[in-house]
Amino acid sequence: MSADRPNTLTVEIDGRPRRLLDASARPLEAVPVITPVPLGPDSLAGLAQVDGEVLPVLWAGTQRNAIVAVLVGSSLGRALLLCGRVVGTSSDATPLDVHALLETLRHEVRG
Amino acid sequence: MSATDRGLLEIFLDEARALLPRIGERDRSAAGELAELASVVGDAELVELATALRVGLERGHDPAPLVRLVDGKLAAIAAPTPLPSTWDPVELAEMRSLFLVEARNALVAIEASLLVLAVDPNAQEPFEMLLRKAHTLKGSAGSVDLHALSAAAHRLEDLLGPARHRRDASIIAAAQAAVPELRRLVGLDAANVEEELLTTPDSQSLDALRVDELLDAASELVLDRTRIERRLRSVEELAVDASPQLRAQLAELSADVATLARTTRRLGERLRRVRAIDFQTLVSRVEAVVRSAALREHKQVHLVARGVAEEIDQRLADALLEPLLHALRNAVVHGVELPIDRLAAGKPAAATITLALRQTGDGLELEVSDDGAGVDLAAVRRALVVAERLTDEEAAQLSDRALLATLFQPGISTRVVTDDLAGRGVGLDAVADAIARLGGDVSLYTTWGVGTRLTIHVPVESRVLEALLFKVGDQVFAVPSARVEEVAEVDKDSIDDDVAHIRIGDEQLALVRLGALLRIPRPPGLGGKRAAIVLDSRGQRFAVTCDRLIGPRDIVVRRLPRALVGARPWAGATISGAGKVQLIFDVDALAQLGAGKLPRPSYPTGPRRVLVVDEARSLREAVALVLEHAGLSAERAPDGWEALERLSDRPFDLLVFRHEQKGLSGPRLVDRIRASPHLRKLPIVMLTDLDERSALKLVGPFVQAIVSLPLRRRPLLDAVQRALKP
Repeated sequence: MSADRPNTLTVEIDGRPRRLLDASARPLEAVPVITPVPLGPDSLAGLAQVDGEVLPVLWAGTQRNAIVAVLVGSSLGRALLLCGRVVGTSSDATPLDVHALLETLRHEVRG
Repeated sequence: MSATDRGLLEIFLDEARALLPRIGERDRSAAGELAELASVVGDAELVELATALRVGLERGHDPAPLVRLVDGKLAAIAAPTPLPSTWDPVELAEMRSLFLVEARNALVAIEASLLVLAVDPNAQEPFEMLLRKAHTLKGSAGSVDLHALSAAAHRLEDLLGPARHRRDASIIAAAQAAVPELRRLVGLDAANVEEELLTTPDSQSLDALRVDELLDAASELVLDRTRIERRLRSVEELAVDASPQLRAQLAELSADVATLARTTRRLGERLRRVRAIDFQTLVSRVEAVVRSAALREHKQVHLVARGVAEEIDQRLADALLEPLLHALRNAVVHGVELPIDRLAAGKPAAATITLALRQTGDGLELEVSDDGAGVDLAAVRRALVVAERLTDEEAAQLSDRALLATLFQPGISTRVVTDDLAGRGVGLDAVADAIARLGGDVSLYTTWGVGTRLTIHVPVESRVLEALLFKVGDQVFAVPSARVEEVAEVDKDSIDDDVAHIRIGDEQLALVRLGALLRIPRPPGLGGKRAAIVLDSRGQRFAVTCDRLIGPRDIVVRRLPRALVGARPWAGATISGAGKVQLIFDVDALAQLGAGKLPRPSYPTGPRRVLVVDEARSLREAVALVLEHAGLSAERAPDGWEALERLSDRPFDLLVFRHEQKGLSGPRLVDRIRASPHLRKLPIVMLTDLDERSALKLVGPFVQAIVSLPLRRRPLLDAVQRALKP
């Protein structure tokens, strides 16, 4: 790993490792109950409650077979990201910008 | 202003004043000369006035009123000293005390932004914050006659404005040097109220903090009570055969829980009232600002307030004050026309700005509307090009809606001349930014020549709300009880499938089938009865159908996550006793979506839905499985009658049915579908034992594809693909 890359969580999405661009990302012990949001974008799996807070739950890739929920955060708030499995904490894998995912969701919702 | 500038200005003023007597004598060429002079000094407003004079003279109008306006404008240019105060002393003291709270907050934000910029001069977010706060300070100080402070903030803004896209440390250092003067002026200009300012807000905020803590505790109490109620219901179900003594104890416990529910509700209501003010109080804060801005702009404005008796949380009112002032100043400066232009357009000389507050069940809707000229979209296009955001071609291609959205971006203004009220494009973006921080949303609507409406929606967090809970499919939803007019159990025969109406009693109501709207599959085992909930949206009654009523509950409203603010038709969410998230409807958005007045969200919403109909279970299952493996969502129906019922209850993208079946046969089913306004465009694939040519003769023109049996995978998928093609 190159020196300028912090140790951030790497997860499997659509069968490929992706490095989450969020130093605070942490996997949850279990995927919480997810409430679908009808008429929501396809990337939005629904809403879930974590520590009393209502969070959006996002599909990170195109495959809908996630088994791990990762708690992530950005200036748009916290969210859960559904992915295949946790690979580790350091890698040269392609980065995944959590904030960009949430920003895209926000734009989709607002039309 | 330099000495040279001042000298040129005086020459201009002398020449302009010399023209006024000639204009008064209806000399059109003098009005033309005035317009040219004004354009030389770059005063767009004076150019407009002079042009209006020339046109008016050509049409034979009396020039005297406009000459008076020009005279006043020249006087203002000649002496950029404060206009005489428009306040009475008591009013001014009150307004200044309110302003100085705002000013102190703005200074904190300015200093914090400068600290960041000192390290990284090119950090954009703090720079935009700095510019916005300087702009706010300038406008607000001018509105309450603190002209020295307004001028100092104006100078800061002048310094920062050109550095919006490129700057170095020297700009930031110069801005830092301006801060002590701002601080001094806040104190100097407000000496009489300074002490009050420095003490009152702190004590207020401490009180507010305590009430917040109590409100949070009351909300948690409601959650605890909900859990107890849920467990009590489970115990009651288990205790059906228990001893009479135990059942009597349970009945008493149930009564105690009901009493607890009333007490917690009363507690929550009383605590909220402690922190509530009526909307009129907020209106009173802004009235004078509108008056002052109108005077400066030489415009006549009536401010009309609606919903003044509505209550609003004190802290929310404080947070809304700044964006509201921006919105109102924008309405006066950009929205409302000069009296002469209004008269020429057949409008009254005085414009009306309406400020309206409405409780929406999930939060507040605040509307600032004016009957002015509307947004000049051509000017917005020009502003985007001038700001180098878009090329001419790109700006020309932008839709009206997208153009309006750009007004919420930093740095976009249609105003040619900047002054202490507007013109730097730090108005609507400041509104949008402040409202986003409250988790809210802003929308702008305009009609050229008719007016502009700015709608602010702010959710109210952690509020206990009485709501009606119900199920659609397996999912629980809530609507605020305050919006529920009636609940009825209706036979499905009273629902007219073709015209989306329902008859309840003697009344025919517009109907929204929630299952169909939300694309939620219908649960198995539903009989012929449906629950209909009659809701009120802005005085209009409409009905929604659901699959099962749960009943009224006290719920704690949680705002939607920031990334989902604006998602329709949702107002917020709540967490059930079991910890599940349940969505709360925004009743007005639901009414609009149901009536087709709001477009359905157009992003993909999952796999295409197919209804497979055949009496033979083996064929039905085989077809459904082939389709499901191909990524489609398949539902099954055993005959034509149930197919019709399902089709009217939920939307499908395709119908696959077997021609030969009992009950409603293939051709009759097709006839019914093609006769229904809702279903006539539904693509159909027909399975048949007949050869393709015979089948074509029977129903050929009315179906998209025919598949001969026995079933083979590839021909079926090809036919489905053909039928689903747009």
